[in-house]
Parts: sequence; structure tokens; C-alpha cells
Amino acid sequence: MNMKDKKKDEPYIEFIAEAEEILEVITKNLLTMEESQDRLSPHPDIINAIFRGVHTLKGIAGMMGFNTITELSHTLESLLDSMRMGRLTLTSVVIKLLFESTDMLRKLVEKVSKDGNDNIDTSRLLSDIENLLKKKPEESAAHKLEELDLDANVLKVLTEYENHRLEENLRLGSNIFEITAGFSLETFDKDLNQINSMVSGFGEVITTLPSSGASPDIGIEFKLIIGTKEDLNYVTSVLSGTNVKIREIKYQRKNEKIKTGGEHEEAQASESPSSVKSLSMTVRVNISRLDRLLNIVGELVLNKAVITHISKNLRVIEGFSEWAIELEKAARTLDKKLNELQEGLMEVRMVPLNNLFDRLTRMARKLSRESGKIIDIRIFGEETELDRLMIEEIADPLMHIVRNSVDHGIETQEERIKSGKKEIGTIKLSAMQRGSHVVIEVEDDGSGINIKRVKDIAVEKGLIAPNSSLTEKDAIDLLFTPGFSTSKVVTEVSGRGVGLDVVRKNLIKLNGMVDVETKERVGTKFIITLPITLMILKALIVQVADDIFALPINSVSESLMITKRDIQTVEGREVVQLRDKTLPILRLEDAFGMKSKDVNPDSMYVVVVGSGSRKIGFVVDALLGQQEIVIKSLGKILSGIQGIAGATELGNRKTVLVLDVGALIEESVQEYKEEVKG
Amino acid sequence: MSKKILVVEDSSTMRSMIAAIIEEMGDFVVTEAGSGFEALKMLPTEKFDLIITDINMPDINGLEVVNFVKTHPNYKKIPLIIITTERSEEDRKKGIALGASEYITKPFKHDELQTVVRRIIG
Repeated sequence: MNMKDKKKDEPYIEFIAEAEEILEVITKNLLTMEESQDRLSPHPDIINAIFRGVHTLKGIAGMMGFNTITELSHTLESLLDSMRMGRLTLTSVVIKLLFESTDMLRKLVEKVSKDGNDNIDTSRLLSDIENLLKKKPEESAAHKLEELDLDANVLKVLTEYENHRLEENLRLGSNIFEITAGFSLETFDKDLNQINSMVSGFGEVITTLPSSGASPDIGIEFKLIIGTKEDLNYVTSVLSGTNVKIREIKYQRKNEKIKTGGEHEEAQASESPSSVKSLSMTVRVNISRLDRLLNIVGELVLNKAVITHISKNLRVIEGFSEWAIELEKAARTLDKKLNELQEGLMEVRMVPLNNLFDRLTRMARKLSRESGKIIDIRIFGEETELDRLMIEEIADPLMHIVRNSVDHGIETQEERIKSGKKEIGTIKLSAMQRGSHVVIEVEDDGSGINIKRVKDIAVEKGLIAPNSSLTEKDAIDLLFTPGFSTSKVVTEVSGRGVGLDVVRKNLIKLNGMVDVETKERVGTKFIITLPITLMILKALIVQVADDIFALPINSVSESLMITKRDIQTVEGREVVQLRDKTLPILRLEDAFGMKSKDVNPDSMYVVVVGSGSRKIGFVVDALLGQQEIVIKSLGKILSGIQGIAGATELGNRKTVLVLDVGALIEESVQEYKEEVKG
Repeated sequence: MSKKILVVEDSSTMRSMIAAIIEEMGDFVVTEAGSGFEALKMLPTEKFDLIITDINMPDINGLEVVNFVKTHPNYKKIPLIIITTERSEEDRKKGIALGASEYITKPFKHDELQTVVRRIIG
């Protein structure tokens, strides 16, 4: 293919990529509609999203001259327009037709990508849709928008659809509010999104109107018009943390609250009882409320531990043993119920990963288009659930990894053809639950990590000595070292100054792990392991010298009993043999500068923590047992201490420190590297 | 100096087609914005001679872009072209009433767009 042909093909490839993306969005929205309780009266945003997709598809197909796609999407657009404007009621027949049409559009786009034309007979589908459109439009009561106490400018900029949504909100008796807020030019999109997501919890954003505001050089003002069933007090309280002005929009003429006539309202109610019912089936709750409940449960767990402890002590006191047994029984029942309560609350906080995966897919598609690579994004296990907060926290690290795959992993088409690979690269995003962990993998079939190149760059950046030999594992470790980036040029895609070191740090903060498997010319796989939830942990309680520590059990893989003779020294570092591998060890009393007690050289314990390439053994004096703990923060002054994640109370009301396993591994690896380098 | 044109359109295919059509004309530099918000952010960074905006976009609609530009002390002199469809006659009327100089209806031919652009800032 010469340069000229390639240039000619560009809009072609872009068209197919965007069309596929649009069809995916349409399908997703159709499925959401199909699966929801109120499938025949979906949220207006769903219909509008489908409409917008079809609308865009029609536009670009029209420009490219694909007439069948243009015609079908045009007819479909009319159907969707009638639906979103309230002229056509959604029925099962309509839903079926929407699915059929989407399938047909997909076939047409496939045909374009294979044969360069869209010649498929769609006449039956077209006439089915047209028949539906012939039905008499439903009458909807007109509302006198100009009598609303609205800024005249607002009505001038409403699109037909937004006009309709305003009328529809009035018809259903919603209250209308105008929210005004000023933002800086740099951050307004983020700030506004925050307000939008707050509003969507209780209402609908009908329009967003920007204006220059009081200081046009540095700021921007927005007016949001929203519709909601809630009243002014509620809206004010929800938005109280933000700097906005809220005004209720009413009809201007007094004593003539037109809203909806009583009769009409009744008719509406009997027409669609399903929609009224479905409203009461789900509740949206602010996550902070759940946090509060969970905290209370956490404290109850501690109280239960106190009771158990008391009952143990009572048991040995003469005359109390019977009471102690009763108390223990009660504690056990309490324990069981607390577990159920905790599990229930956890379940409420869990949301599936599909949203995040969708975001990642969209981003990957966009990036691949920008970098001119063709990439097939595959998703598996998107129904896997994870704590809501956790999902937010892993979004950025995952975006970074996917970006890396697009930018550094997948080769250009020419390179792939040259090395005998499939022309189209693949990135696989998958999630699965393993016990109390969720494993998320980002796998590409790209070039893999080039160890020689990693070494060259590390030498260049002074991270290692020129003559040091690197294993694959060392190379991977280097990728996670601050200041390392293998990209020769800073690209638009991943050159944003954040390295994998930040990714690892963020995941460690969540008690997670990240591991890499790579094979040159075959591909790279990032494996992220996260606990399903952060709040209450099972911990291993260990003793080091005179102190007691808690170790989150999800980072412990096993514990060994060794004798002093089992410890060897390799390259100035203490190791023990763990099956066929050497395991570096860390003496916790050294790490925290404690005075070591005389320990029995014939029985020392090694707790193996970490996973994959980052396993290490902590040497401790005794294992005291397992217990559920609630991690509390150390407060500002102590929060900077390296290697400590927080504190917890044990049942005997003793406060112990919880070890930050990730940070301790990190620290020990770093120290070791510096020693070797020095 | 080449004149600068800001193209606001959420479909990337459409956006790059418009950019290609304009760049064909030779003496224009095109900046692309993938959404209304992006456009609002770009306005203070460069002095644009013309804005071409789609109407139907996810964050703010094209009419709001027109209204913002035409009521803003720093930008009100920038002419705008709105891209509409045959379906949205109301929106087209509103756009022109808000101060857009021209409209063009999808799908359009290369020379249609070029003629309109030239008529305004040629």
C-alpha cells in the first residue's frame, strides 16, 4: 500500500472504528433498557443516547456515501425521535425492532469493512419501522414555557429535544430549578461534572447553559436547568457542599399554578402503574451514609471481641464458668449476625466493573485511532463486582496500563505484518473473583517488554550500573521505578508524566498488588490483584520483640518455621530457601529499629507476603493468631511513618499497629537496589 | 497569516472530514474540539477567525456554543457556522436568531462547505 492509498483509506478506517463504537453504545443502552424493571418507560437519557448514536451514524455514513446505512439510520432516527419527543410509546414490538435494526446496522458496517460497500437488502426492516411510524402520534399536553419564570436566554438556546424534556418534566409534575455557578476556565468541566452527577442522583439535567459571567477572562458561569420530584430544601441540602445558587422556577402569574391538571395526572397514573412501582424498587444512597453504617459495624466487631475476651477470662474463675459459656454462646450468635450485617452492607457497596471497563474500552479505541493502530478490545468478566470506592481508585491506574498497552505494547500495522502477526492487535481486559480478591488483567498481544531496551534506558538514566546483568524480573522491577519511561518520544498517548511507579503506589495503597508477565514479540500481561473490600480485614497477629503487630491476611501467602541455620546470605542479603526459590527476608525488628530479644534460634517464624515477583518473608518471633480487625488511621502526625498502614484495637482493648505490607516490600527492594548499585 | 478555524463536533470521523475539507482550501488552520466543553476551553488559548459547530452534542449543545460566543465580550465578533440536519429546522432557526452567520445541512458536499467558509472569511 503506498502512501497515497493509505491517506485515502484513513476516513474509511476511522468511519468503521467510530461506527463500531456507536453500535456498541447503542447495544449497551438497549441492553440496559431491556434489563431494567421499567423497560417500557426507560430513563429519557437512554433513549436520547440511542438517538444520538443513530443520528451521528447517519451523519457520517451520509458523508461517506454509504446509502443503505444512511437510509436505515435515517428511518430508525425518525422512530427514536418520535420516542424521545413522546410521540410514540415504547412497546415490546418497538424494542424488538430496535434490536433488529442494530444487528442489521452492524452487518452493514461489517460489509463495508470487508467489501467496501453496504449493499444488503433492508427493505423489510424499513417497512416495519415505517408502519410503526404511521400510527397516529399521541397527543401531549402543551405547556406554556414562556410563562415560566425563566431567563429569556434559556428558552432561546434549548434544542427541540430539551424543550420537550422541560415540557415533559412539567407534565409529570416535577419541580424545575435553576442552578447557577461560576467556575475557573481550567477546571469547569470537572466541577460541572461533579454537580451533574449529584443532580442525576435525584433528577434530570435538562440543559447546561454557559455564559461569560462576571470575569470573562478567567472564569465562566453556568446555568443548569434541572427537573426533579424533590423540593427546594432537598436540592439545597444535597448541593450544600458546592458553591451554587439555586432558584426554583415557577409560573409567573400568581394563583395559576398550571402544572398538570388533576384529571390528567390521574389518567397518567392509571396508564403506567409500572413506572410508579419501579420508582420505589431502587434507592440511590450517598456512599458516605453507607460508610457510616459500616463504621458502626466495625466498632461492633470490636465490642464483640471484647465480650469474647471477657468470657475467656471468666471461664477460669471459679463459679463463673457457666456464665462464661452462656456469654460465649451469645457472643457467637452476635458474631454470626454481625457477619451477615457486614456482608449485607458490603454487598450494597458492590458495583459491577462494566462501567469502568466501558470507559477503558472507549479510551483505548480513541487512543488507538489517534495513534493509527487498529486494536480489537475484548472484555471478559465485566459483571465482576468490586467495592464502589475501590472502582474509583483503580480507574486511573488501569487507564494508565491500558494507555501503555496501546502506546508501547501493540505495534503499528506494518510492524505486525512484518513479524507475521495478525494485522489487528488485541487488548484483553478481564476480571474475575478469586476468593476474597478480584483479579483484573490487561493483556496485549504486542511486542512485549524489550529487556535490552529497558536496560539501556535504565543505564542512561543512571538507575543501574552499565555492567550489571538484568533478569526479566529485574527489568520489570525497573519499569516500576520512579522516573522510568521506555518511550523514546513523549507521545500524546502516555507521555503524561506519570509512570508505572505511581500506578503501583496507588494499588498498594488499596492493599492491592500488580504483577507483570511478558514475552518478547508475544505480548504483555498486567495482573492486578485487589481485595474486594477495604474496610474490615482478617489479620494475622504477630509478635516481634516485645511488640505486637497485625498483618492483613490477604497479603500473606504462608508462614514457615525455620531455624537460624536455614538463613543464608546471598549478595549481602539474608534469604531462606522456599521450595525451589530463594526468598529474601526482612527482620521486622531491624526495619523498625527495635531492640531484638534473644530468640530461640531453633524456632523462628517467617511470614511470606507479597505475590509474584515481589515475595518477601518477614521474620517474626511468634504467631499469635488470626483476628478480624478494623483499620483506623493514625492521625496526621503519625501518618507519615513508612511501613505502617494504621492502627487497630484488639479484643483486649490493646492498640496495635497494622503493617503496610506493600510499603515494606517496596522499601526493602529499594534498599537492596541501592546497596547493589552503590 | 493563515486564518484559524475551530471545528466543534463530537463525531471524530465528521470532525476530521470537515478539517480535511477546509485544509484542502489551503490558507486555513483547523483546530478540532470534540465537545462543547473542549471548545470553551480552547477559546481563550487562540484567536479564532471562525467557529464551525455541530448542534447535537453531549455536554452543551451547539446553540449554547453560539449563544456563549455571541454574548461574550471577548469573542462576540467571531462568526459561526452551525451544522444542522434536515430534521432540526427549529434548531436551525434558533441558531441563526442567536447570531450564527450561516448553517450547513448534513450531508454536505466539499464545495458547499468551502463556499460557505469562503463567503464568511474568504
